[in-house]
Amino acid sequence: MKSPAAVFTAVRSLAGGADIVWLMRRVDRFFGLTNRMLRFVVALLAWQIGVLFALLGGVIDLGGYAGIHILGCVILATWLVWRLNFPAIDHRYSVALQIVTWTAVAGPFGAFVAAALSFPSTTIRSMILRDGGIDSLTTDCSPIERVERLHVCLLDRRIRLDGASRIRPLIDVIVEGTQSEKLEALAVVYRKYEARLSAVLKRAMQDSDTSVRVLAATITAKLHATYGRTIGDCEAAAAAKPGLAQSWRNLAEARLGYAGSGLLEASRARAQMEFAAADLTRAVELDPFDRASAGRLESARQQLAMWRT
Amino acid sequence: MTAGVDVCLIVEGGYPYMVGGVASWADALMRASPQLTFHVIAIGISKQARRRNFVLPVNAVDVTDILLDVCPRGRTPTARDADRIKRVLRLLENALTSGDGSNFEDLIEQVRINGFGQAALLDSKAGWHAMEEAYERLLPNGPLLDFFWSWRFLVRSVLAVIGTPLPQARVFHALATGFSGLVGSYAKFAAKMPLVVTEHGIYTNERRIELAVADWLFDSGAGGFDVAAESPELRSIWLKAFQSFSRISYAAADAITTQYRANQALQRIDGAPDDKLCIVPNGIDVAKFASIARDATPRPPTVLMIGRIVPIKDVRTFIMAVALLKDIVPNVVAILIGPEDEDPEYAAGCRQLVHQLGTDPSIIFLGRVPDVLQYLNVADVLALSSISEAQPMAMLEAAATGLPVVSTDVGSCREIIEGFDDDPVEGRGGIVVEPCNPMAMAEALATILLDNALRSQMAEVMRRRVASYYSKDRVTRIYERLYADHGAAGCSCGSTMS
Repeated sequence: MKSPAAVFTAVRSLAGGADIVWLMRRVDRFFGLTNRMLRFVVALLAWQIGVLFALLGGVIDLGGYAGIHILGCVILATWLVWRLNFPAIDHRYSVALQIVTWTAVAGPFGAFVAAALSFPSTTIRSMILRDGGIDSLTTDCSPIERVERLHVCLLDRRIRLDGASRIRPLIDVIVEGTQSEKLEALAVVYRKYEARLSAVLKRAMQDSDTSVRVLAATITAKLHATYGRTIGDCEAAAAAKPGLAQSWRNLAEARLGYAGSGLLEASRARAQMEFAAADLTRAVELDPFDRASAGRLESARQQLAMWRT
Repeated sequence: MTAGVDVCLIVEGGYPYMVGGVASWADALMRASPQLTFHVIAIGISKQARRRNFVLPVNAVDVTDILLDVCPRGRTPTARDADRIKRVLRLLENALTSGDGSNFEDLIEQVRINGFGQAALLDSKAGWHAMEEAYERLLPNGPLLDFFWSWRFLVRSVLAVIGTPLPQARVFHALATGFSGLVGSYAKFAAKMPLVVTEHGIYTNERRIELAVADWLFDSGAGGFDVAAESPELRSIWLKAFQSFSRISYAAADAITTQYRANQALQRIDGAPDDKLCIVPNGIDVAKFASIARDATPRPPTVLMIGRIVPIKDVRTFIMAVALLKDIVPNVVAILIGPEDEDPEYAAGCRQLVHQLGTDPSIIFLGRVPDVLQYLNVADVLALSSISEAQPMAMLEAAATGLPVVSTDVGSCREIIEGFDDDPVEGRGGIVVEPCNPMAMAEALATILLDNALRSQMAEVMRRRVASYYSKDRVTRIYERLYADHGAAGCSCGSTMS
């Protein structure tokens, strides 16, 4: 059996490890809590409701009810406070103490409300869209296997993180946001640019607000300049060392990056792809054993053929 | 120090050291009113080259430099100054965040009374503690080191502004809000002199755009893709400071001018009071430009672009447009006029792009030229690919010579090309295209180059529109009257200028 530290170290080595560890802790905490805490709350509610019905049914009078209620709560609270003083403080005891305090104040209603508030929200439940693969997350497999399964589920989008849907898509912000939201969205696009975000930039260029258009244009120009500069540098390197396959490979990669950036219209992206194919051809001629370049060349040619058809 | 000039012009990062739209405008303004005397306050930073790119007109009697990163040292604080330092720095923090004019006035007074400068407010233990408190308020959990340097620059810059000896002038005229406006506000509060603020581009807007793509500012990325996250970032501190400077300037100004309506709307959003606002367009010497005879000798279709070779002019889009245009008009020639020394790396990238696209023989970089007129009369169309403009003088001058224009939809370019409400001249003088769209620009240029009748018609519209609304004489009269009004009694600009 691996130690918890070793497990967490292994987990951290996975992509997005920190997030997954956090998620697993939440899962553990939730299921750890429910087992005993649920029994405690059910018992507390049953006791409170029983005493209340006894009062309403005339089995006990108000004084008796108050005595049982107060005495019971005091005993429970004292025991919980005593438990809290143990060196290894358990989070469950403080939660239980809160529930008892609310019960003391508002009887069964307090117990019910406190239990609802004290339990973790249904985060975990909403996080996991139940299907065959996800259910196994809560079975008896080892923590590292559970993390791996969770990771796979995240990657193939069978689970979603709670709250993620509250983040407005950037394109929606551009369409219906305020000016400052739009500018902030464009700043996000600039900092985290990838081809899929080009639609946001293009939509922002059509915006009725001049400032939004100007920022979108500034970002577009900066991105074009960055790609153009990289290509220029690679061209210069290839011109300086034309016999080096690596130079042509780098140039081809720079061109392919630009072609796939989403910034170019189809004809210009195709032109970049054609240049890249020529550069890769040259790289393969110079180094026939370079299988990576040959593979890239093949996929570039396929892409070009697809465009032609 | 000069004794009693008429107008003190306050310019940030430009005149007389840097060439640019606002710098040229300032130069033209002074030359247009030779009967007035001017003193120029040039705001910059110490590492900026201070080689003059303009020959001062004879009525510009002196130039004062304010270096924002150099402030007075002030007296050495004692242990008993700790509370005072804290109080002054709290005022300074408010000046950087609240935009409250009276707070800024208090700050000027307190710094003067206490004799504080860098020694007390930045280099002392009390100053450090005050900085820590500001950090907790403004950038909790952010990078302290980055905050420290930003704080230091901003505090220094405000101290540099309020530590400047003011020239004696009848009116102070700030050519932007920002630091220019802050100097103007200082003159207004400390010397009780009238202040006119002219904004070509809206300062806060330009800074907001600049900061959104600033690579020199640390950004934690804590907000991820969530626009609503509002995680405290360093750039929000800078933006807040610029917004605050604008608000202080608007509060202090007696009149606030800009060149077109869209800008006025932005000024209102930033807190400019309606009764101070007025529109004064740019003006050019219409007669001089209109008198140029067009060169009728046979030549290839020629596209002209006039502007600095800098990213904001998006010269790369123009170059790509010309490359595409060559497919439609194979013998087209493109001439680029403008200095390349402001951003040599970008200029080199543009030349590299010309080479990459194989358009070397068709695109000519002329650099700075002594007389742009000789190129205006041999061109068929003016192209402007800028990402941001206010009211470009180059466009007005080209238009006055009877040159149709293809321009991106920025600043007041659409207004100049297509007209505005109540414009006495009807019709289009060119084509407005979307920024960063080489294909659209190429198609627009081809449309004009291939249709002689359309070109003549557009040329005529441009010539008439510029003559009727953008005449230098008219604009000069407006400014002279503005100076006279405010220099005399501080009466408001109001509707008389609209």
